[in-house]
Amino acid sequence: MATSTHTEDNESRIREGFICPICMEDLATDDQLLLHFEEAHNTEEDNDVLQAFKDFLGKAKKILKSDNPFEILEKTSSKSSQQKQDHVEWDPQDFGVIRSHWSDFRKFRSNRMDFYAAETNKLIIRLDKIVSCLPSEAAKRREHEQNIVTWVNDEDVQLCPQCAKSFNILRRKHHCRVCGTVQCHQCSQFLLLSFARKLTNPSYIPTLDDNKEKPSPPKRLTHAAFHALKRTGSTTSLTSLTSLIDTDTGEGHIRVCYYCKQLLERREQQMDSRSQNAVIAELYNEMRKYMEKGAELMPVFLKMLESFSQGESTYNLKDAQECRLKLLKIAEYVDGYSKKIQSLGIDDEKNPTSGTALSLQLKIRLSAVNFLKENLLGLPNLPTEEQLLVLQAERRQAIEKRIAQEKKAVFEKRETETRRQYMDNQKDFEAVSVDRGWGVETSNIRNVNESDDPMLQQMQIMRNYIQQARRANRYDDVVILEANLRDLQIEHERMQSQS
Amino acid sequence: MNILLAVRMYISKMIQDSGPGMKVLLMDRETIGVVSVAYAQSEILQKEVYLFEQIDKSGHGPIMKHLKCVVFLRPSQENVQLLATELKSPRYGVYYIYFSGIISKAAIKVLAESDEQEVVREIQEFYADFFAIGPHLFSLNLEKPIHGMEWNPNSLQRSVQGVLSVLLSLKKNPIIRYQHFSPLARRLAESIRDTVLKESSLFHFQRGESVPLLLILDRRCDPITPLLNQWTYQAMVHELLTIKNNRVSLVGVPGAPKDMSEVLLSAEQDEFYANNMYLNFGDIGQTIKSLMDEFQAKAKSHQKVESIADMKAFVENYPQFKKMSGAVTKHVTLVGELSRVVTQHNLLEISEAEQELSCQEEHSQSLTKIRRLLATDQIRDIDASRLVFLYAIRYNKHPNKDILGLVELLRRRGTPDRLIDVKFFFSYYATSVDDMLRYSNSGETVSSSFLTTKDVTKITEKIFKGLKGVENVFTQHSPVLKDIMDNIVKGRLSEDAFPAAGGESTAGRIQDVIIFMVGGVTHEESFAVHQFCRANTGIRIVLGGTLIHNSQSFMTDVEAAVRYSASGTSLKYPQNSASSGSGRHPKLT
Repeated sequence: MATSTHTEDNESRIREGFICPICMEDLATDDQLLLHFEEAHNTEEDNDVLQAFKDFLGKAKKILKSDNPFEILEKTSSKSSQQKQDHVEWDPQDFGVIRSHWSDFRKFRSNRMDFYAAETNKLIIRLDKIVSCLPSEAAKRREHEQNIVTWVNDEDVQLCPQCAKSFNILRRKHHCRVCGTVQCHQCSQFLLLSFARKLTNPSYIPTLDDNKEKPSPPKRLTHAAFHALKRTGSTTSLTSLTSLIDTDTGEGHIRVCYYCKQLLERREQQMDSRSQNAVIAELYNEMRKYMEKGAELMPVFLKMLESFSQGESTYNLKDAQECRLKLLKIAEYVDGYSKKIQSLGIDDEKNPTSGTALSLQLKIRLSAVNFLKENLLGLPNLPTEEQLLVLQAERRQAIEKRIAQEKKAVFEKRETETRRQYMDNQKDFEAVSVDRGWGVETSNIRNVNESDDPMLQQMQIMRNYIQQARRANRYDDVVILEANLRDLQIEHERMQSQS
Repeated sequence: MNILLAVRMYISKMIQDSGPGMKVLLMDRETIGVVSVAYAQSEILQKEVYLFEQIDKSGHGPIMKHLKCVVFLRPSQENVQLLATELKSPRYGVYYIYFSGIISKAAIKVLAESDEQEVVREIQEFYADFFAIGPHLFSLNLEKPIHGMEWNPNSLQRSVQGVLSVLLSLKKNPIIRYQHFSPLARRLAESIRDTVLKESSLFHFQRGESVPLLLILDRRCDPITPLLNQWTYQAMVHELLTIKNNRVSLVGVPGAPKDMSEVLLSAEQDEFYANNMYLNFGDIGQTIKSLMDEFQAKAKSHQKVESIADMKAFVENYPQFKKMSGAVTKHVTLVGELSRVVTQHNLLEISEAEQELSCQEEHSQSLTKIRRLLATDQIRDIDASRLVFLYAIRYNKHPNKDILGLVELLRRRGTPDRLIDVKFFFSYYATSVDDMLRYSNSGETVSSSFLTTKDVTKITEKIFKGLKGVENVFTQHSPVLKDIMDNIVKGRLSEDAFPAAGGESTAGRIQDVIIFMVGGVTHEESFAVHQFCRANTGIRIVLGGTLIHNSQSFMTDVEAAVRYSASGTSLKYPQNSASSGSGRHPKLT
């Protein structure tokens, strides 16, 4: 972050440090410089200079602090393109107003849910007692049930509370086994014993003894069985009031009322949703795990790569190679999992995945592909050992040069006076290199003997330029620089002959 | 004061709040639009949202407990019911619910009591209840909000909700001023103010040294702008191809690539569009041409690219190029179609005549021009009648006017009746003229019953800005909105013409301005705002309206405003319907 400049009159010189671009005063730190700027140059026309200056300082600070200057550059450039879109400068924007109704919602919900929960728990305790030692004989069973739940008196109920029809010889009274209320056959419902056991004992798994169908999925089973039951029930209801064994499934069941059934089913659904973990969800979680790993590892790898290409030896090449392999592996996993997700169940002949579920699978695959495209595909290659050695050698050279240059800088300060007359030339050279967009850094090129005549120094610097240009394959520049060098030599000879 | 950013922040937060995992976004017909204007699908996909559902169509989807459901709905009665049904038998594992506006406690109760399986994890109000077309432009997508010069009650409610949500998303509690001549603007302003007072807990922001301003205008203060042909890219695409929620349908466009039945025009996604949306048509052609040239140089091809037709051929011959810049293909297609329509319907000549009509005082010259244009077959009926409407507004009081003659010409062309009836258009406009005269910016009061031609010229001159050395003959006109903005920034907005709702003091420095136009805004005005904010860095303006108009949608709105009864149906006859002889209202017996 060198603020180098030159004054208008002919005493051009290069100065480095925190120098005010307007009055050329040299300040020690960036903060002081900013302060000075705000105090001394706080006029209208200077304001935008100040702004630009602040921006520049901020950017420079960021670059110094950041490990990866390119990141910052990218960020700033993307930001400036954003501004280009808006054209208008907006303040950093506050997040808009939001209002939460969560506490109200929870209050309302828990009022209702507490009631349900207590009621359901009561039912399940009763159900547990009924199911746990259920006698198979009809008469004993009835007694057993009535011991646990007090049945409502038959005489007290004239109409079915559900459908409001009167009871008669065809429409007989039935009791709910868990709450004891009366309703007609049409309105009453049945619980399969397997369903009841599942509720009372969460670890219960229906076996083939309990029913003839496949044991999964449990929920569909109960519904299917329930419908079958209702059908057979309606044809045999008059004669077989206490038919315990359903003809279709061969499974025992318990008569309950509509409300109890609702409460119990709701509980079952809650249990299901807790235990349910679909295959796709598992695959997806795995895939995301790898994606996250990849997203973490990627910047690390890029950082290493950057460091290598700079010729630094901070990192071990083996580590980097390992890292690269890991990334490739991750890419493979992500690809594999997403493919698996995509094709999940589409080969199922009976019930192929379709509609929403399919589009979910396709979208997941699509996003994985996007992720791979953006992050992991076309992973850049690492330099080989030999390339690395070359790069490192170059860096060493550069560092040595810089050290020498720093020494030189001390010397230069003393020698400024004598050098001044030759600076015009150097300015030209700089202009040449800058115009060409070729990044010769003035900072690391002065590998010169301190005791030399300034003219000779100048020529040495020139030679350094030329070397650098050669390395950078800027042969056009080499030509121009060599021409400059010749001029210098001629001038030098002229001066020598004069003296 | 970037409303697009405000909406994007809301949406991204509601998705993030639900944490990692597969997500489905459950929306209604309108919020789908709100989201899709602000975000591209690919962007949302990155946030793990894989499914999008519309609540009134979602009914029978499969049960997928492994998905998290982010619900984003408008707070309508219907939505609450649908959501309650959904919660009773939830198809997804957990629900995060966001309403785009203020929701009643009763509705919360209904939902809470439906949540029997306790799947809801969050319920909040996020005020993204408008379509953020750009950083400074929003629409409510309300067609025909005015019936029989009265608010359609639904549209009024929607406008109140929409504007409130803009205020909340930007955290502004403004002074509300409205255009005095317009009962519509006044009604909206007062309704908004009532709600702000009622919901004072939401609007507790501190007003700094500058007070935000909400300015409610009426489209009738400038019926000219939406009638003119546009020549900046965005406005032109909307005028000739119609942009809906940042999307343009290319169905029926000859030569459009098969995979491009609809294209997205969003400055967020599309850099080319962002850089060129305000450019002139001619410049766009140049920009595209230079892009093509660049590629051509790369491809070392020597094929000539001179005309837009050449460009299209060029693109088609280079699938590689297609891949490289899908965006450019899109724009080449669009620009190609625009130029086709322009040539086919002689729009350049029409536009010239329009600009002359609106900006210059050359009655006989204009009349001749219009007559000549009406006689050509090339021009479309809608362009023909627009010219006549413009003429009628402009020269209504001119001693030598020939409106009837022009109408006769229209009829002879076989223009559909509804495009001929100058009277209906004029009555829309005329309701404003008298009042505007009375409250014109100069503050002088003129008795409307003694209008002279001179007075009218004076007021029409305010609407028709004079030619002021603009180099481009097609873009001489500048909208009335620009003068209003000028007055705002100079602190010279007349209290008579723009009183404050609730009689609040209008003193104070103005920095943030939200302008809402009842009856819709145009892209030309949006462009004007954009330019204005660039020129005046101290002021920030957001523009919105019931709809973003092109001439077609504007004429439909006007027709509804004048012909329909207030209830929006044909139950009641408008007072002059007998004379207008409109056959669209069946007789009631």
